[in-house]
Amino acid sequence: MAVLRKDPAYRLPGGCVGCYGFIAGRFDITCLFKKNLVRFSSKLIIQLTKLGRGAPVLLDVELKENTLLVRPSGELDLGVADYLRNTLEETLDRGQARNLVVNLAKVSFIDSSGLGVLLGRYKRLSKSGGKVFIVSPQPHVRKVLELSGIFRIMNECPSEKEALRKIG
Amino acid sequence: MRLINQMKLEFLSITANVAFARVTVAAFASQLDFTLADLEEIKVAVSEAVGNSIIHGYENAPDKFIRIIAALMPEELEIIIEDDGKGIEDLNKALLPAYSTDAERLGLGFVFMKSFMDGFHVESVPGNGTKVSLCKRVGTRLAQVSPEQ
Repeated sequence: MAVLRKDPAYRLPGGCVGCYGFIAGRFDITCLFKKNLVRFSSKLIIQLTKLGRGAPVLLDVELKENTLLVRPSGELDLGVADYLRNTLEETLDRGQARNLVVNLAKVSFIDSSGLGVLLGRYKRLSKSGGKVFIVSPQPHVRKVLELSGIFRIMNECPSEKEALRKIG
Repeated sequence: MRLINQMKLEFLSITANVAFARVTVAAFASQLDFTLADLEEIKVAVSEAVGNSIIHGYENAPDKFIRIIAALMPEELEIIIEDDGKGIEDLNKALLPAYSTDAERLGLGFVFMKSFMDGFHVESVPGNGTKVSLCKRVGTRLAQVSPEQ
């Protein structure tokens, strides 16, 4: 289950202002926005271009039992940190997610602003005994994560499957 | 040392320009024989410095300016990133790892700059802006990390 607020600051590729609804269970909607086919289901895929704030970022969010799987792609910096933080907070507020798995395979850049978003969610979930896993960071992204010391508190996994297995 | 090329860049203090600044500096740096890993490290350092200017120097005011001067020498890149913001009250404290005035931030900006670059220096006068100087040498895969880290 995931919910996104309509926000005129975000625009779907092709120039349409995005309009997002409440997506629950196995309810599937396929919408055609100009030439862009966006499929909504229990696995919510969001492609948003942040106008005037930063580079485009693609965020794929999926809830599996009590674990929120997040697959961002693009560059996680100051330009997208607020958007990423707010989206994750809203999703965590409305869902039953106790754990978080962040798949960084498609993240090409991260700095301390992006790391701050991950750390903030870790602080929130760890208060209730939840776990946060980092999956498949690219080598240069991993270097930044390693230098930050984030692996002392978050686990790294080679795959989402392995992270879900560890969560149990 | 002989100057090969130089650039000056001035842009508004908006978050969209963090990516613009790092990509521009990396493109300029690629005129030297840096590895892709070096260029990624330069991008992180520039991103942190520009982010600091926006968040701390100008406290998110979007109508101020940040300046970058970059110079290429045969074996190294020098970068100066400066703002006219509020400056840093206690520079020694600001340079400590994990020190931040914002709970959502890691306080690792200066640590990344020091670690990923071969030279790092910051000057700041409270009320009179901050100037960060960075240097990256060609062919040094491992950046120097100062003992206090």
